[in-house]
Amino acid sequence: MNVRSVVGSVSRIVAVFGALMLAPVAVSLVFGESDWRAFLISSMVTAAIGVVGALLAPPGTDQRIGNREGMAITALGWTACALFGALPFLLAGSLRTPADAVFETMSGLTTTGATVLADVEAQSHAILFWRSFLHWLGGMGIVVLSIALLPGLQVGGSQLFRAEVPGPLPDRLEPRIRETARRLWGIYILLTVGQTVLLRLFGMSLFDAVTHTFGTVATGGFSTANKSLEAWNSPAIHLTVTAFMFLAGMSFTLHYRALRGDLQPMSKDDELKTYAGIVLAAIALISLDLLAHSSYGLWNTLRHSAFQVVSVITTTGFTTVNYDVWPPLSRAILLLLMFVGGSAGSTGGAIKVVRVNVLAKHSIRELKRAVYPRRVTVIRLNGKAVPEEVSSAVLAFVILYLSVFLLAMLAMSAMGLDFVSAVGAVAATLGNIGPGFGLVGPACNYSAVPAMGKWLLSFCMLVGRLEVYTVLSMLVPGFWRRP
Amino acid sequence: MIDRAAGRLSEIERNLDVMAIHGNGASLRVLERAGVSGASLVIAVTDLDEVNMLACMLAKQAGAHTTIARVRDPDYDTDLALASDGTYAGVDVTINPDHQAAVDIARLIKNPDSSEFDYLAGGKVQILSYTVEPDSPVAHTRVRELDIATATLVAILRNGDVLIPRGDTDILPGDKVFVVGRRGVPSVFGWRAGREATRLRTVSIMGGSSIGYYLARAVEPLAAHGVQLKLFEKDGERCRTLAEAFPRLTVIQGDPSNLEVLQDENAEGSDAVAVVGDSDQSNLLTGYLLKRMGVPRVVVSLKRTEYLPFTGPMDLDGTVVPRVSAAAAILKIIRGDRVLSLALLKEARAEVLEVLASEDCPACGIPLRDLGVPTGAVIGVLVRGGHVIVPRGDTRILPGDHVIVFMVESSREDTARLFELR
Repeated sequence: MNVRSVVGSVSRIVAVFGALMLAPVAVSLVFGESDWRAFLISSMVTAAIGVVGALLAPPGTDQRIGNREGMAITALGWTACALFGALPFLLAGSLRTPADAVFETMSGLTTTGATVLADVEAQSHAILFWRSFLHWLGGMGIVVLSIALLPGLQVGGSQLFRAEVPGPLPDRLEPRIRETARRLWGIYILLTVGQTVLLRLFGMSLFDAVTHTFGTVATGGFSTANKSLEAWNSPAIHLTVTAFMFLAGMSFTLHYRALRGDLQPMSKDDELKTYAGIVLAAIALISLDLLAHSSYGLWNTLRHSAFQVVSVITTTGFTTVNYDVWPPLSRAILLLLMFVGGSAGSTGGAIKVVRVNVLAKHSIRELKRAVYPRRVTVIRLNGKAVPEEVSSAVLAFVILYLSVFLLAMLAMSAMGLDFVSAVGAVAATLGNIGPGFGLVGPACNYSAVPAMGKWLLSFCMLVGRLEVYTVLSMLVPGFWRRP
Repeated sequence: MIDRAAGRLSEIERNLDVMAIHGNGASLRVLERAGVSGASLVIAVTDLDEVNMLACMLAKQAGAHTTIARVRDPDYDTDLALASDGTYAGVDVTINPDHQAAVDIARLIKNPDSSEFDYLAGGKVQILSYTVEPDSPVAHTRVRELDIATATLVAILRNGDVLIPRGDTDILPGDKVFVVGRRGVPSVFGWRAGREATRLRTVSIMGGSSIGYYLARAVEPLAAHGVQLKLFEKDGERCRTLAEAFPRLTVIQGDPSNLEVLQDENAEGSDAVAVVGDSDQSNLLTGYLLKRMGVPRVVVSLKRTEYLPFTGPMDLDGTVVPRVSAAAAILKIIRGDRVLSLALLKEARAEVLEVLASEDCPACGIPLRDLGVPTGAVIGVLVRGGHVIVPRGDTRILPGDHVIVFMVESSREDTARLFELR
């Protein structure tokens, strides 16, 4: 383990993060609020620590970033940002305990959208902006952002990139990793501008349009209203958000190719087909269930079921209705969708559609192998063979993911949460969705969870966002030793 | 002859009339010692594709007239297919015995009417061979009694000897007859050797080495028509490679010569099986087993020709020898520019040539009956202006005609003189 390069890189990420904290200072000043000092102090402290750290470990010849260094930098960088990002909440007095402040920051950065704030509408604009801005930064990834901005991180950048970008087989859009990072951020900004303009057109205030756009394209879920998007009873706004959540849950590689005029990959992509198939099937089933048991009427049934399905599968967590009062089948489908998650290379969390795809094909193959033990078959994605190592890594990922889920659920139950709430809370934080079921359902928040539970759920969010391996491999005893 | 194995060279020098040079064929120094700069033909047929290609490139640069390389790797094969002018990096002609064999086998599998055939003159002319069965309508008839208007009976293979048919030659059961004629016509004659045309539903390939790969590639389009394709291969890694390359192929890991494997995977339910393993012995055994298990069509590839005379009683539906296919390609070049195509008989030293009659060709303008065609040769058909002509005694060859000639080796020089061949 090259400690010097880890310290240096994490420090540089922290310094960038400190500089970004100046954005809410500007928001605070624009709205004439008094908490700009909290953000300015936090920014100074964070940037100063980052710069000092970067000076202590300057980029030198001995800056090799291997696989392990990449994972350590990413996991520690995220942890550091979650800690420093909590400062403004504490200094501005909107949250009192470190557990609450770190939970809120981690929830923002990991694009979870689970909140401990009981009354969001009572918060200052700067605080609300900061929450949504955290989503936006964490959605595409603070490490990817740092690679795009900073010169020192290019060597070994691909290790960092792999540790942060979701999916089993990250695509390189350009031969150089820095160019790839810039392209991804370019698409991200394009989506952001597009949605903001549309929401503004459909009657949202500029502030609400920007914050909700941040929450959508990052598949985050923090809202500026207590009732989330239910507060805007506008079909146009709901449809826009649904559409952009769906886009944010798609692979950004496909967006990139489509923007360059190449629609071929999009029309032939297996993952996209599965993703769209799952979404449509879930909408159809929930709509039928709701038509039989609720009184929304056909149009509203479709609108709400589509919004909730897309919101949950993309792991956004916006709501237009309290789905916790829906009939059991609909809730069960939503719970399953919490595990599926978005596409690989999207801003969505959870297991990811492509892994579900590979898992299904792998299982079918093993079933067939029981009948024809001599047949040699290859799992294919988009016509290309998936190497055996990748499919077994996918299997291991799913098992690890479910193990973390079960252990965390046991721990939450030990802290006194009822079964439905414990399942909902862990599934919703590990999958970076946000609202769960029961005690932590859409109509409630996470403030009732005990402090220990908040730390555990914050850890779950990080594990989920960095796709299990990056965080858990640091717990392997040999990780920190020299090879 | 250049080779690195000194022992084998001295053996070759004893047995053949060639000059043997010990050394690396891809070394310019060694090539020059062999006088490659003035060579009219350089043939590189080592086991290594790269060495063959390099040797040809060097020879070409040193001034050799024509170069031939054996290239077996599918990667280069694809490169060569892309090179539009037919030459690739100094290699004039490439020979890929396994690919050629696979193409031949695929033809045998797809066409259930004949046991073996070949096309000449851009597909206008067909060479067919049939084994005459006892109940065939042509058994025990004289050649002159056959009502042949569109084809010529060019040879009869009886007990391993080639007979040039005359009017009074009897056709006996067990004969293998060779017919040259217009494409598709001979089957109209009712010359079918009593075999039913079966619709292909399942095709199995036994062995996944080079021929198996090329064969899978050749028959894969059949899958689009609902044909099930199976391939049996022992080696797990190789199985995986094949499964990756051919999505529509069912790859089965198992030894094709293992009876249990064949039964478990229902190999006997195939409509056609190609046995293309690395060992001739196990290929023959597997082919025989499958034929006994009731597979309608079994084609076997053999590396060596020694076993060919003994395959008759095994009732196989076809045998392919990659080396013969390759040799035909090399011979065609040796015979010179006027030979447009050439097919070799596996069973005997005989060949079928497609020759272009030149302006001053000695055979031109003379009625065939007065031409003095050598005893071991037969003029099969002529192709003139795109039309296939079955010659009579008064037919004359004109400049520009494509002449399809069958000849045994002993008549080669006389025939060559007739058409000014090398």
